[in-house]
Amino acid sequence: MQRMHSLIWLVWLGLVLWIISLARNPFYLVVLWIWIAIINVYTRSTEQTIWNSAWTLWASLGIVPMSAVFNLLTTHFGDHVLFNIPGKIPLVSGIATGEALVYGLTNGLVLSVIINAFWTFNRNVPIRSLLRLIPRAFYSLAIISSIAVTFIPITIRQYQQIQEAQAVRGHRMNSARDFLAIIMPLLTSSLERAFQLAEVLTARGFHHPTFPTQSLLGQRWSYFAGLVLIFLGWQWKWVNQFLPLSAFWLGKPLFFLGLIVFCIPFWRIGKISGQSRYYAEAWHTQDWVGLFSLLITAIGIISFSFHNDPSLSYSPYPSLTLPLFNPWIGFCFTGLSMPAFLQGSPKYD
Amino acid sequence: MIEFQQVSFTYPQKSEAVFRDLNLHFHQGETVLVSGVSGSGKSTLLRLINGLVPHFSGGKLRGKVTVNGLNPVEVGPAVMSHQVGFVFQDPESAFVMDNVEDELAFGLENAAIPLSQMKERIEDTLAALEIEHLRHRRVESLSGGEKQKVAIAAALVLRPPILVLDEPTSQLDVQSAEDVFLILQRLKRAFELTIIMAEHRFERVLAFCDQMVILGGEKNDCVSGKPQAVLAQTNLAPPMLQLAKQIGYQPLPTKENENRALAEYLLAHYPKLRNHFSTLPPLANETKVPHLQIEGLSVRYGDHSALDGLDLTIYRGECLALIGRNGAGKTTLLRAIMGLVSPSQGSIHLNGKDILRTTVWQRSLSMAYLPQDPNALLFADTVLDELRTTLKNFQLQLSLEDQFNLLEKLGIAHYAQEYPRDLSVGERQRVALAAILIVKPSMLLLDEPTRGLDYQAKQNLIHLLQEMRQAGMTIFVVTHDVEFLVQFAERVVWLENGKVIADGAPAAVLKSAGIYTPQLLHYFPQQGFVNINEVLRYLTEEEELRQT
Repeated sequence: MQRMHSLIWLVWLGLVLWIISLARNPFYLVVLWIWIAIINVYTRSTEQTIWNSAWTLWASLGIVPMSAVFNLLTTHFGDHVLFNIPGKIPLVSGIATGEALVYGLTNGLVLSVIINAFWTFNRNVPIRSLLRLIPRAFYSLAIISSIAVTFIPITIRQYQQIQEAQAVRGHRMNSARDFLAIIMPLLTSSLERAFQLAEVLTARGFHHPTFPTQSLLGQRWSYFAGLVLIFLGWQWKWVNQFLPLSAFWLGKPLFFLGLIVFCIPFWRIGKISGQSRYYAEAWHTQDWVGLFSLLITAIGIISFSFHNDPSLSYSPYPSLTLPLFNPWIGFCFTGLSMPAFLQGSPKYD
Repeated sequence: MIEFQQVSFTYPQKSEAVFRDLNLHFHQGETVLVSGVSGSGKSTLLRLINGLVPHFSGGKLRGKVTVNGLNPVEVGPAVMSHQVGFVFQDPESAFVMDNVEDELAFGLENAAIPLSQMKERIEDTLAALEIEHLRHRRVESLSGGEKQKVAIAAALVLRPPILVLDEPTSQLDVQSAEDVFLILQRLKRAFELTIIMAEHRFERVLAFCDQMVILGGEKNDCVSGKPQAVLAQTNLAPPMLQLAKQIGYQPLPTKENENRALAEYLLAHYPKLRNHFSTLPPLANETKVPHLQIEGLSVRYGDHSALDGLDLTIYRGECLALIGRNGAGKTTLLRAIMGLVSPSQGSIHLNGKDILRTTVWQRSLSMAYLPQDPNALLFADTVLDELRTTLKNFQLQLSLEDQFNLLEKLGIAHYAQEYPRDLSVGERQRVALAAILIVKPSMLLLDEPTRGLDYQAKQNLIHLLQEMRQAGMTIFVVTHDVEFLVQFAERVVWLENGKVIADGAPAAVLKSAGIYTPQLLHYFPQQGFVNINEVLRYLTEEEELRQT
């Protein structure tokens, strides 16, 4: 099997994030986490890279108890009192409630699913494909994004090295102040590395496209005119009442005209940016199948949402109840796994 | 091809020029070796060739630089990227993409090379460097040598006529460094490249370099010309060259056959040398007291076995060097000893006591460990504060006088109030050493201590280790630098694939070690010379005998 098209993985990521924003139900979040973990493990390659290590899964799971405990200790609302924290410790003293615990747990699950989803996305989409998804006008931005991604594994490795180096000189983490011994060398070496990367980029011919001054001025006018037209189109109803002739139909055309005028400079920058592209991604039949499965999932969730399925939204406040669970919604999440099963382990690895 | 006319350069906010009135001329197809002590301006010189200096750094430049008919200062680094391929010291920090093929395509995309040409160039470059098999690999999964080859490929993919390399082998083991040098020679022939390279370990580069530049001499001057002529004027020289200079042998040997001729000459004219046979007694371990005993030690990273049932005993007051290829398990062994990684099986005894259950904190009181990058240790405002931080971490008290005594011993007392990161690589290493030695441990573990050190800093480190050894400290050094280890180690352990494959006196272990064989042992295998002082002593004795 070929690697799925990056757009499919982008749709997949968008769908996961949308589901998380829609269904803050701990049961659904757990089902979602398990599915993403399965996808994560299934698409893992044999290479020894940070993206392939299993600890990322466990690290993301570690956020759940942290979030739950933090919320339990700092939020003091609810009827189900678990225990009382005595004294006058700012933020902490007061009642610890079951509602706060469940709310923190749900927040932790949301964070954990998001991290897992991004981690899985990064494993399956090479940086070149990410760059390809960004318009040429934003080439510099794309390069910065790619560098940020390559920075992550090096920074994690460097963090471990510094932590070990400090440990052998007796450093122990007793208070927040002790982080200085780790953070300071990490910050300094990251800055040194950033400086070197800038040198590398310059030495390898990476530079901003240069525009004649006249062209720059034209661009600025184009942005301004575009924004004015967009605003006029958007608020045309209000503008039209001051006009002698009624022309309500003009709003939408003005809005779209504004969008076009606003985008012209970006198109021009793309034309004169002077880069070529090496990598072209092909769209295969499996991509259609993957897209179709994701669409079915989205349609399924939307239909449940339209029918106001009570299990989709959950809050432990004002009263703590057990979340509802609709097995059909849980079943809908199966569609999220299709891109992974169609693809298998990434080929580029 | 490249010309420096009366070039002087001063960095911003510095009063001293890095170099003054530099006049150099490099011809097309030449390989030029640039050397000199740290801070002598090697990197600045290289960066002037592609315009990174002064475009990127700022500063005052006088004189004129011409590279292939262009002035890098006028046209800038972006234009110069088509003329000069630049390979940086640390390839890992220089990668922009996450995958090898994309890394090569990056420069071509920037130069707006059409797709068909891009494919052809990438194929050609991968083939020239024999790294086609790495095409789809993620860069973070590559070994050190592979990373450097990819960095060279990325620099050459734009087909520049000039290749500039800033200490390309400083992060590599001996075999990977040799591979890089062989590839450079092949590339030079295939593409008629002009190669300019800064390198500390130049004993292996001399064989194929046409011109040599040494910056920052005694009078802060620059010496350049044919290698033999330049080497005659400097103290920086591999052992065989030092011998040739000692006896006034001409021409000074730089190539394999010239070195062999010198060895034959020495053996023929100095009978004492010829009659010397390695008289090193076998290591009498039974008379020594074990300091650290490692038995059946295994460490695993997931499915990969880093150490596989390793047995090793280090004796009290011993100076031991550990060699092996990148990934052989050397650093893992040090980390396991310090408790930074948990072994899957085996035992470690320090002074007869099992330390597997003890914490890193407890072990660090008896054993000082200096990792590869001393920068990872340094974060305080002053050198003295670094010492105080360690003392505070271990809840120890030490008088200011004792702290200064340690700094004095390490030769950095005059930097006591300086910001550690402002110091040179060698000085920073000494500060890091001070920070871990302040607790007066009985054993010192060093991981690749010569990385990035110039010749002089290396000599200073050797003297320091010799002094520590005389003071009774057990020293365990992991190193790729065989010329360095033969000057202080009394025992060498060779590690491959997590197992000890050889253990004994340096001459015995390194004699048949191929690429790891030090220069003297390579040319005097029968005599078993590893240390130049041994040979020099014979030469002096013989000369004195002749005079009397």
